Amino acid sequence: MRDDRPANGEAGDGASGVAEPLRAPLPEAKESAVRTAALPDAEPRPNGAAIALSAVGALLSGRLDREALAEQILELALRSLPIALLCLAFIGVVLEEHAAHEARRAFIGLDQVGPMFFQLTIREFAPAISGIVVAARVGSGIAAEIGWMAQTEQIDALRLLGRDLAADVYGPRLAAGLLASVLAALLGVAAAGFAGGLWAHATAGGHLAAFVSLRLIGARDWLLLAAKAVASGVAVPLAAVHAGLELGGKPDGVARATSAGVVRGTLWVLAADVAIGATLWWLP
Amino acid sequence: MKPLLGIGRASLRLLRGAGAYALLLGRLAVAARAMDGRELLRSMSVAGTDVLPLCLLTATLTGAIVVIQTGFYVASYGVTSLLGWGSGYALLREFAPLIAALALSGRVGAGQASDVAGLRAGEQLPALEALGLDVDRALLAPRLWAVLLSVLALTAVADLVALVASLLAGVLLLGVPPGAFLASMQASLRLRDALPGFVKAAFFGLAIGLCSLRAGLSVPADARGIGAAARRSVVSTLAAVLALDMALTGIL
Repeated sequence: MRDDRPANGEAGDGASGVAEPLRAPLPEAKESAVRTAALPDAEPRPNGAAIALSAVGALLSGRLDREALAEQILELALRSLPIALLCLAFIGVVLEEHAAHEARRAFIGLDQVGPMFFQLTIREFAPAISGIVVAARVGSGIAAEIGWMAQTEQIDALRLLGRDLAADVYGPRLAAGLLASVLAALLGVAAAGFAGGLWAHATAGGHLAAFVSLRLIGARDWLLLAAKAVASGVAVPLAAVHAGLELGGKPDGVARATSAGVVRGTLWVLAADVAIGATLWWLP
Repeated sequence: MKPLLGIGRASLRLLRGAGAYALLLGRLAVAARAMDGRELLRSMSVAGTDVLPLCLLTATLTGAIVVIQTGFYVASYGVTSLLGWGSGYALLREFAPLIAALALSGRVGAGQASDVAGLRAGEQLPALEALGLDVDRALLAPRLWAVLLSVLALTAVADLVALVASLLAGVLLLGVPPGAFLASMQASLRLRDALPGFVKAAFFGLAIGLCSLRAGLSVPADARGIGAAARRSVVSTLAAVLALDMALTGIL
């Protein structure tokens, strides 16, 4: 949102046209009727599909507000990375612990089972855990912000001023959320592998390659990672925007929207995980 | 010089944060001896029953995910008879408590943090203190221990549901005979395999309760602070749960 001026003359006239009658003293009932007619609350809130389509349309036609996009990429994508990478590093250590435990039980070397756990990191843990972190960090941020904008009637005001919400509000958040998910999943693999390998070196006397090995990794694994990351990146910000719009205007709306944004985003991440995993199971 | 200053500041922040959590835990442990029982039951009802549908859904999805991923390996090595044991062991020991805690932190943690922040924004907490009520005993301690007990109960439910979901996914998605799946579970799984999961769940519950209360108590007492409390709670709970998982996996 670069400025608060109307995007075009018509919208500006429309806005002042609405505000003008309210300045004159009116009977209470009439004033109420004017206010009701003026506020766009009567318009149905856009659903998830409509938001997604309008945002994709804005992105493809180059209408996205670049300043807002840069701001959202910094806030949502880049500032989410430290927590996502930290969580994946923890997961890398946990997986290495499990791998070392299984190796000890079977009296085999860590390098026999470590690569299998690293493959699981790429197939499952990196996209799922980064998706859940993105749902928590990005989903809560978007839902709270949109919820706050809905509660303070900024969304209505922008709509009244004729601003393109898809280009100025939803689109940049959806694009930044997608970028956050993909970056977190890709870099998360590196963080988990590096942390697991270092842990193996420090505790099990193994070397980095005993855990981090591409021996078992094939195109299907990278495809799974990419598909799950993209699915999470689309679903999480969309669920958050929808929760913010749906619940933001209600009492305690911001908190409820934040909670709903995170929960719905997490469920979408897990549901996409099951669907994509099952689909690839059936592919030859 | 600047990097050193940065490291020093970050270390001080970390120590201050750890101290604040330790103090809060100590205060609420002391207050637990005389906490309001009715508030405990009410908080358990909110943290437990409200979250049950979400927990069931999460556990079902987790069961399916684990069996699909285990299925790739048992199929490639031709040992489908191990699918029941492999997925059951992974679910009970690691995934059911972890995924349940991660999902619940969004619902319970964010809800509790925004609730406490809302009480502060509405000046209800200062009003209760002005009336001479011990807020720790009346409100905060019951909420912390309610989350802990609820997470334990929900983990038991999640374990059961995830095992059933893994059986269904194994049969319906991967075509494993149900008898072979159940026999593999029965032959290799013991009740004690679930114990590490419950120990983890207790620590996760404590982390969710503490992080959410601290988030609610530390944000500005205004309307925007309510959303900020929910966000802060979700992120800090997530990091705490995964850090605890790492530490406890090595110990257990």
